[in-house]
Parts: sequence; C-alpha cells; structure tokens
Amino acid sequence: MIARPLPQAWDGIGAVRPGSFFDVARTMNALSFHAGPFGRILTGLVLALVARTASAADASEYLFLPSVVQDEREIDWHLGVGSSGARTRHRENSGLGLGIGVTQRWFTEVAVSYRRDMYAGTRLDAFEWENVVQLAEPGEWPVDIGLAFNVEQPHNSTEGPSLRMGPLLQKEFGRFQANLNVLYSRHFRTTDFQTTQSHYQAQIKYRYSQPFEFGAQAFGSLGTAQQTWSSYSEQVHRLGPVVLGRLVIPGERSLSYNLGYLIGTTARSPDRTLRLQVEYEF
Amino acid sequence: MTIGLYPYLPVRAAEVQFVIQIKDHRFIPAELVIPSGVKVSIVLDNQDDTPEEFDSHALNREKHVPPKSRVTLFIGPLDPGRYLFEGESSETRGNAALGMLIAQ
Repeated sequence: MIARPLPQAWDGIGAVRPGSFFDVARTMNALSFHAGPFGRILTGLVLALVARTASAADASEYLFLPSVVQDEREIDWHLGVGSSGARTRHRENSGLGLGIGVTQRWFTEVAVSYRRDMYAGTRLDAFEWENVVQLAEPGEWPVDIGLAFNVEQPHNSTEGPSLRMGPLLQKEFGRFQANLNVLYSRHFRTTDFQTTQSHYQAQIKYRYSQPFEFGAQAFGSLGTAQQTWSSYSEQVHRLGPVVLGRLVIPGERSLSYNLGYLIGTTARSPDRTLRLQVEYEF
Repeated sequence: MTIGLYPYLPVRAAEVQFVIQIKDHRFIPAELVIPSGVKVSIVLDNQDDTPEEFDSHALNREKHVPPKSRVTLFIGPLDPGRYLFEGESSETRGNAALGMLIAQ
C-alpha cells in the first residue's frame, strides 16, 4: 500500500540555499539504499529533474489509498523537494515508515519525518501514526471507500499533537483508476493553527502495466492557519504528472515507486515540487 | 476442467457468484469463465493450512486469504478478455500458482 502523509501547507519558510542541488544529490545517493539498477535509475531521474529546477525543494506528500492487504508489511520511504517564489524558497522533507496490514480492513504505520531547510539543516520533524480502515471490499460498492486516521506528534516543539482524518475514495473505469481524498486536520495546544484545516488529494492514472503506470496527481489545502476555507489565492494547489509501478521480487516481495512533478497554481503554493516514494513490501 | 459456477442466490441484484478453491497452493479451477459486462463476486476458498495471496494487476486486486477460510472478491464489469491472476504464498517461492479469468 502506498502510504500518504497529509499535505503540509506551503508556509513560505525557507530561503536561497546555494549548492542545494548537490545537497539533494547527496540525499538521493544516500537514500537510494542499495535498490540495485532500479534504484539507480530512479535516482538518476530525480537528479535530472532537480537539476532542471535548480534548487528545488518542498514538503513530501503522497496519496492515501483506501484498500488494505492483510499481513502485508512495508518499509516506506518518501522524499519531497521544492522551490517557490520570485526568490527561491527551499524545503525538503523526507520520512521513513514501517507499516503492516493488521487485518483485512486495517492498515497501520509508524513513521518518522525529517525536514531540512537552509537555516536549520536537517532535523527530526515529527513522529507519525497512520491508519487506513477499508470500509468495503474493492469493487463491492459503486465507489471504494476507506477512512484515514492519523496522529502526528511534532518533535522538539511546544505544539501538541495533530489529528488528521477523512474519507478516501477510489473508482475504477476499466484500466483507469481515480482517487479523491478529503482530509481534515486539527492541531492541539498550538498558537499557529486556530481552525480545522482542510486538504485534498486526487489522482487519475492509467494502469498500463504492473511496473509502469502513469497519470496525474493533485494536492491542495483549502484554508490557512486562521481559516478553514480561504480565498483561492490563499489556498495551496499543486498538480502534475506522475509515474508509478511495482516490481515483483522473488520470494513474495515487491518494490513500489511513484514519482511526481507538481506545479503550483497559486502564490501560496510552491512553484515546483518533485516527490518520490519507494516502498519495499514483504 | 471444473468451472466453479455456483448459482447462489445473488447477494445483490444482478450479481453472480463464483468459487475458486485454493488447494495444495493451486487455484481450482485454474481458468474461470465469467460473463463480461457484469459485476461478479468470486469466493476464494483456501483449503490449505497456510495463507495464500491472490494478486492480479489486470484485475486490480490483491487479497490475503487466511488458511482454512474464505474471502470474497468483487470483480467487474469486465470487458471481454483474459485476465491473469497469481498466488503469492511463501510456500511456493519461484513456483507461484497461476490462474486466468476469462470474460466473454
């Protein structure tokens, strides 16, 4: 299962960071974690795209899916880099999680996330506990529905935990698959976030083959820290192409990837986002 | 070859149910003919003492089947064609069970 931290609204924090491409390259090289030729190809693709976007950076984010496979265990690694603004603003987020399908209907994952920006360097950002509950078998209802329920505890912060939850929707149209997730988050013991935050995740993909699927993804936040629903210019919207796939490894294992390049459509959105997720399922 | 068509009373209107047995890490029947253009349910009946996994990219389904138990898949409506599925039991490394769903 491809797991999916919720979008963190782009807050504009960050600044010019000379040499960031090389930092990204180091990160990619360090985290391609012996994935063999496949990992090296992905790393090369990421580096090529990052090179084209100069000092790109962003928070990582990826799509929650409503289906659960019992007993499937996975190690999930994700990275996001992006850039934004007339002057380059830079953010990188990465995370590492361990998840398992506990029952036919419940998947859970614990994860740590890291954040890197120019002034603070790389630091532990948060601990996360993610859950997906599958409400019906895929195809049983006209639309597949799951529920996401996630708790995040910021590290080294005076803020309390945040709770994020909402419905995960999926529909198949032949070889096409469409997803829409509507997610709400609430922060506790915080002075920064005064309202419930609303977010969405969307995807449409063509399931060309198991190792190669392609489509488009969109992520957004509809409010600000002070408003659940704000004007369009204050919202965050990002969309762009994505390639995905799953490589089966002998011995009941597999390696899944998805790589997306997102373009921001509002002033508050990062101009460019490059995100990569790799999962080792066993 | 046995075709596991069981004319159960439909759980839902216009839904036909089929059964595929899993025995000795093999699907029985290995080929199952279903009607195209109709949503069907398929009961996976695992008679082995070990879990099995039904996996099919063509059908966009992946399902864990615990030992000595039954689970139900919902498929389609499918276009006419052949849809490969396979097992992923740890007992059959390198020799996974294969099956074919034929929609016609």
